[in-house]
Amino acid sequence: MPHVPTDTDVYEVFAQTGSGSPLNHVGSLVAPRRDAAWHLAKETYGRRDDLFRLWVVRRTDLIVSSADDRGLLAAKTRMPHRQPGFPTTRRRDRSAAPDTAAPPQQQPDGAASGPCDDPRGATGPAPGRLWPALAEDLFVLGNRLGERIVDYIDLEESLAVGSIGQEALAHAETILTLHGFDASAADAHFFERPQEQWRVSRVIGRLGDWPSTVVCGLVIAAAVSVLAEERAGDEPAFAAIRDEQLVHLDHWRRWVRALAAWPETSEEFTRAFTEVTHCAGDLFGAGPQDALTDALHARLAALVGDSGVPGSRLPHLPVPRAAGTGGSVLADCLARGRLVRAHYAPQVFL
Amino acid sequence: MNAPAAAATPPPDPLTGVVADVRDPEIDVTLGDLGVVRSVSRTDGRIVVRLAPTRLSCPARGEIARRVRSALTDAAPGHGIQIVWERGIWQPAAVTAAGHDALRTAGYRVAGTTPRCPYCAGDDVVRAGRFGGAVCKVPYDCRGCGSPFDVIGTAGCSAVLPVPDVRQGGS
Repeated sequence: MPHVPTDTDVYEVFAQTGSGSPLNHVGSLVAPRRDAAWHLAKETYGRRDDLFRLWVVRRTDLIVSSADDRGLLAAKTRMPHRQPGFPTTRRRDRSAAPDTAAPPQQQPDGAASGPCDDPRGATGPAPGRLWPALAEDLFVLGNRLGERIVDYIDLEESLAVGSIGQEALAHAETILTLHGFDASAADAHFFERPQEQWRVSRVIGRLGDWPSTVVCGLVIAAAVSVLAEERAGDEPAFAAIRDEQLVHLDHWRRWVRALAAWPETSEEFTRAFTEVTHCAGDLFGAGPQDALTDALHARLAALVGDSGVPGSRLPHLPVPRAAGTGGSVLADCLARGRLVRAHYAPQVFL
Repeated sequence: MNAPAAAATPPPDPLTGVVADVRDPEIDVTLGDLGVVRSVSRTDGRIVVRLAPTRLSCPARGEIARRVRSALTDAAPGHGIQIVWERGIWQPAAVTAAGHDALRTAGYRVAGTTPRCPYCAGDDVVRAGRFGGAVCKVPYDCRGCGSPFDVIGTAGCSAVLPVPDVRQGGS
């Protein structure tokens, strides 16, 4: 417990050596009386240096903490879990386990171990290929949104963009986990793969200005919720992804309607809406085209059409994804990730 | 991952209490009261802890895992510890009665019931936005006593009360 000390003849000395320096506790001394204490302090602590300020206080006039007060003294809002310690902790985890050190090579729970850059995709049916591709889109979208949490003038939008970005990243990781990646393999998949191996949707390349970002958010949230619906019945994590993405979809829809309605933004927005929806045909284009992908695409088109804004140029059928898309948006995203990981010293934040 | 193995477990391991007493890093409530602890079991010197995060993107998972490991290492030294995250299965109903009390004391309400102000217990509350200061929270304002508070749990994010349209997207 905090307590009042009982040693009545002990004084604590605080001194300031210049007007710009802080007043510091410099030591303590024993003196018979208050005024004697001050003079003794001046002789003891101001002998070699000019003092700017000298304060002396009797120890019994203090309230001091005890050694067992650490609990009381702990900061309640430090929240270490909100500090970005992840880039180094996972890397450390991986270095301790050499079998996961190689690029995306991981241990799927079943038989299939496909080529390095497309695990499981080669063997599974279409959804098995669609998911990792959408995870790449979510990863880049989440990173891009994270860069937008700078505008504290509109706190509510900052919270929304931050939450959606954070969830997009978590969904990307969850999707890989559900496809047999462990945490460090997912980490390597996102942070250590060369850009040529990424197969993001063409909408990722449009993640620039705010109207285009809004439309990208809309089509990606629509695509992920449509695909998650397929597995929501048998896997609770997919149901959670669907529910959370529907909240995101609702948020982007409000933005789409607002940007289309305001006279100041409608022209620029209409152009962005046309261009991004035109690129969105490949969201379900990562695998072979079949009846399932056509049906998914039709539901995606319905969701985008439901947004209450005309002018969607979403193709009628899925378009195959190409490697090497994403351009400078993807390149910046990957470069930023590498930069952060290269320069964080271990335990910087914790 | 889909439950049957966990459902068939015999009586709870005594270490369950150790894990249940670990405190959540974000809010001053224990993991057991928050309904995050699903099961704790021991198989050949290995402790398997199954935890359900309140949201898929819960940023506290690393810190929770660290605290659970440290508590288990103190209580039962020398065991391997495996932490399994059961994704997407946490429900507001998993919060215990003690958890409701602890959360109310900390200024939170749990989704799934009529939102009431944790400070004055009034029900004249309005949702103050769609996204809160953490992914598990939805902000509310009490119009009775003027206190802002957060509702915890997925259900609050999609339903409960509509948000007035005028607050959205205006900058």
